[in-house]
Amino acid sequence: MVKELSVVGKRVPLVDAQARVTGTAKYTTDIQLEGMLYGKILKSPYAHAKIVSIDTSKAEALPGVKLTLTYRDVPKIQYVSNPQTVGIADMYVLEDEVRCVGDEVALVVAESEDVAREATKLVDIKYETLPAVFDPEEAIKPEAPKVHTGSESNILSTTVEEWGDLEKGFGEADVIQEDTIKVQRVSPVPLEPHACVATWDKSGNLTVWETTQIPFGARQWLSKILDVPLNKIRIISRYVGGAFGGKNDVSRYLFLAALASRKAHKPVKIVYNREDEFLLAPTRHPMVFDVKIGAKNDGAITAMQIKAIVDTGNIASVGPAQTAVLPFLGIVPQYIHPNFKYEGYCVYTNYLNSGSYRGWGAPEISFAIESVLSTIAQKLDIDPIEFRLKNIIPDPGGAASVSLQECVTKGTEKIGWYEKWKGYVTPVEVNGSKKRGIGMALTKHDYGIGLSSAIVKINEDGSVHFLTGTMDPGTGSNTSQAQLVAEELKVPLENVTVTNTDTETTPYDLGSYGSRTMCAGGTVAKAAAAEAKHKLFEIAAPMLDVTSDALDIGDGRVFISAEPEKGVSIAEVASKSVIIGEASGSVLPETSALQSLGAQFAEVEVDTETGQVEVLKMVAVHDVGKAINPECVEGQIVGCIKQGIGYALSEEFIRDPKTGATLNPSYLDYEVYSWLDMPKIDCIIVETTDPHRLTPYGCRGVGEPPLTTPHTAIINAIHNAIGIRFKELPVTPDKVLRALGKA
Amino acid sequence: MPEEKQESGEILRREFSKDTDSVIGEAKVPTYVCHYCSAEFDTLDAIKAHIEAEHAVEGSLATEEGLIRLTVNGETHELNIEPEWTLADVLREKLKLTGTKVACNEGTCGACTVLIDGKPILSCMTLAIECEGKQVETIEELAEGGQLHPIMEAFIEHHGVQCGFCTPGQIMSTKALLERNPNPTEEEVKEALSGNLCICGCQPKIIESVLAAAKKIKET
Repeated sequence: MVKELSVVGKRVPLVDAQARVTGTAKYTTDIQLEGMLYGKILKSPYAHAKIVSIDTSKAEALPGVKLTLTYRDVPKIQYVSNPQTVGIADMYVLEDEVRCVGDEVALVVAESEDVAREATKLVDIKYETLPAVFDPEEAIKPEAPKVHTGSESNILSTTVEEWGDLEKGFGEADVIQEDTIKVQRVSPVPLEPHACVATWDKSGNLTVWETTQIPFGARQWLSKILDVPLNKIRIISRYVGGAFGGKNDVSRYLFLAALASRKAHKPVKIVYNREDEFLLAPTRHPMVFDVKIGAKNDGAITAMQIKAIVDTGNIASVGPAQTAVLPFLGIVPQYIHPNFKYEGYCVYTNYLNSGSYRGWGAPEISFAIESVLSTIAQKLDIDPIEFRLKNIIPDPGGAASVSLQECVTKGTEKIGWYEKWKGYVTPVEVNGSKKRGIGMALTKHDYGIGLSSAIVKINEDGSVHFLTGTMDPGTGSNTSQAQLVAEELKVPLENVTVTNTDTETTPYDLGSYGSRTMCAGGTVAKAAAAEAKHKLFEIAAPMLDVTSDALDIGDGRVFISAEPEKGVSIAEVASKSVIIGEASGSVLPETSALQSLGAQFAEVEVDTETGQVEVLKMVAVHDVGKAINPECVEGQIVGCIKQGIGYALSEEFIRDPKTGATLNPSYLDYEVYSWLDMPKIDCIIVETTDPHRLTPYGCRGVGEPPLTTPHTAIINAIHNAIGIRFKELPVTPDKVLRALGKA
Repeated sequence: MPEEKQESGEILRREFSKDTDSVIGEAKVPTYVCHYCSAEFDTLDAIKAHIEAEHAVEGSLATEEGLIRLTVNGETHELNIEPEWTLADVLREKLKLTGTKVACNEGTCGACTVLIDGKPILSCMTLAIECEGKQVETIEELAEGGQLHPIMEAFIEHHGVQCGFCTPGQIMSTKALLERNPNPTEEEVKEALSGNLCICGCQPKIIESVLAAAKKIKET
C-alpha cells in the first residue's frame, strides 16, 4: 500500500525564503565583525613574469595599512586548488612567478577597503617578463613557452582510452564525418562575488565565513597549509549568492585571509571586486575537439575517434580529472561505439583558472559529439530523433529507454516538432530576412556519489532540528532535504528548522556539486530522520505495551498501527530520552540507477540581415525520478537553460592577443542573458520509476543535466533555419553574417 | 536668429535642430535627464542649475565638514562621512542595513537598487552626500515590525527567489513599478526589472511574483 505523501512532491515555499527576501539573510559579504580589517589583492599586469623584487614598505607606510603579505610571508607548501584532483600539486599560496594577467601577487590589509586599494598601488614590484602562450593548440606544442617555468611540457596530463579496432570500424562505415569543434571559456559570474572573513580566537581556533561549495574541503586544505588540526577550524557557508561550480575550488584568498588575520590579531575580510571575480574565479574549460565518426547507412555507429585539448589555464584545479573522464560524460557514452579511441590532453596556458562549472565537461563534449552526429544523420537522411534513439538505447525496453522515450514524446508534442520539422535544411518559416528553425538534443548525466551525512534531533517539545552539511546556493536543497525529513516523521514542514553548512555543528558533506545534494545529501537526510523515528518507536513501545514494529507515526503522535487511537505525543516520547538520528554514507551507483535523462528542443529565429539569433522558445523535458519540490526542479532547469543560451550565443572572454589581458571583465561587456532576451521556457517534469533506484523516492539530480543540451539544441536549430552548422561557440551575429557571406 | 527666440529667452529645440540640419556632420546634442524628476536638458550646466534649484534642500548640513542628515526608512541619521562614499556603503557599513546587496559596485547589475524619493536608484553609483533631504527606502522597510509587504509575500509564495542575492533589488524595483503602474503587463514588468540582473534564472517566477503582488495590493 503506497501512502499518500504529505510534503514530498509539493511546491512548498523555501524554508529560508523569508530570510532571503527580507534581506535579513547574512551572506559572507554581509559579515561585519568588531575591529575587522579589509584585504585587497594586488594582481599581476603581466601574463607571465618572474618577480625580481617586491618592496611593500611604501604601502605599509600609508596610514591605515596594517600589513602586507607576499610570497615571502606564506608557507612553502604546494597544493592543488580542488580536492577532486589527486596526485598533482601545482600551486603555492603566493609565488615569485605569475602566470596570467590577474594572477595574485600580494595582499594588502588595511582599516578600510579604500585604503587597502590605494595601498596596492604603492607596492613596488620589479617584474622580469617571460614568454607567454594563450592558445591551447599552441601551448600543446613541444616548442611552446612553458607556463610553469622549468617544466618539460605544458601538457599536464594525458588520457588515452581505446577498445575495438578503429581501422576496421571506419572500414565498415558507409559515411564518415570529421570535424573540429571548439567551445569557449565562460564563467558562471554569480552575483555574490567570492568573499571570506577569517578570525582567530585567543585559543588558536580559526573561524572562516566563506562563499564555498565545499566547506569541509576548504577546512582540510586550511588545516594542511596552516598546520592546524581540523577541530580548530570552523568554516561557515550558510547563505551564498550563487555558485554554479565556480565556488568549488579552494582559492588563494582563503589562505591569505587566514594568515593575515593570524598576523594582525584581527578579523580580515577579502571580497573580490567585479574585476577580481572575472579574473580569479574558476571558469569552464575552453576545449578543442577533433571528432571522427563512422556510421552505416541505417545509422548504426561503427567507429568513434575523439581528440580533446582541454585548456586548464594557469592552474590544474579539476583539469586532469575532467580530461580523464570526458568521453564518459553526458550523452556521449550512450552512443554505441564498438570501435573507439579517445585521447585527452590537459594543457596549461597563461590565462585564467579553468575549474568546475555546471555540467563539468558534459556540456562541452556532448555538443562536440552531437554536432558531428547531426551531420551524419543529415547525410544519411535519417530523422534526427530517430537517429539518436536508434543509437542510444542503453537497455531496450528497460527503465532508461522508457524514460528517454517519454521525454522525447512529451517534448516533441509540446514544441510541435512533427508539424514544424520539414527536413534538415528547410526552415520552419521564412518572414523576409528572418528564418525560423528547430533543433533538439538529448541528455544523460550521472551524479549523486560521494560521502554525505545528516543529523536529525527531536526536541522535548516534539519540534525537529535538522542539521545538514549541504550548502544551499539557491538550489533549494535546505527545503527539499527538510521535506524528506518532515515526510519521514510525518510532521508539518514548519516544525523542522534547518541548520546548514557550518563545519562546527553540521556533519560532513563532500560538497554541493555534481548534482548530488538530493541523491547523496537527501539519502542521508531521510535515513537520519528514519533513525530518529526508530528511536522514538523504541522509547514509545514499552509506553504502549507493544513492540516497536507495531508502531506508526503521524499528526505529532506515535501510535499503534492496528489501533490508531492508542498513542502518545512525540513530545511525550522525546522528553523521556535524547532522540538523535544520524546517517552517513556514500550513494553507490548502480546500472541506470543514477542517470538523469532528458530531451530539449529549441525554436530560433535568425535575422539574416543582422546576424542576430533570437531564441523564441525552449522546451525542456527531464526525468527526475521524483521531484521532491517541483518548484526547485523547474528553477534548476530554467537556470541551466539561461546559462546554455549564453554559452551558445553570447558569453565569452575577450582577450588581448598580445598581452593576454581580459578586455571584458564586467557585466556590461560579458553578455549574460537576462530579462529582455530570455525566451519562453516550458519545463516538463517526467517521473519514471526505476526499481534499482537507491535514492529518496527515486529522485535524480537535476542541477546539471539541463545544461548539457540547450546550446546543442540551439545550434541545431540555427542549422535548420539557415543551413549553416556552426562548429565554434559562441555564435555571435558577426559569425552568422560572415558565414552567410555578408561580412 | 534672435527674432526666432521666444519671449522667455529660451531657444526652442526645433529651432535649434533646424539650424543644425544645414550643417553637415555636426554631432547631435546629447540630452541630459534629471534622475529625480525626468526633466530633460540640453547642456550639463543647465541640468546642474536645475538640480541645485529644484532638488537641493534648505538648511542642509552638507556645507559643514562631512556631516549629513540621511533619512532612511523614515528615520533620520546624522552621519559623518567622506564625500566619496557611496550610498550603498553608508547603508551597509555605517547603518548596518545589509539587506541592500553590492554585487558589481559599478552600476551594471542592479543588486544595490534602493528607492530615493520613490524612484529606483543604483545605490552603488550614488554618493551618500547627494541623498541629504531625500527619502531613502531600503528592503528593510518592507518588513518593518515583522509584517511582510505583499510583494515579499508574493515572492515567497511564487518562488521568485533562488540564491536571493538579487532579490532585495528586484523587490525595490517592483515596489517602484507597482506604485506608478498598479496593473503592469508582463512586458512592462520585464522592462521595469530589466536593470536587475538575475544569474540563477528566476525571471519567469519573478514575473509571476510581481503580477501576484499587484493583485494582492489591489485586494488590500
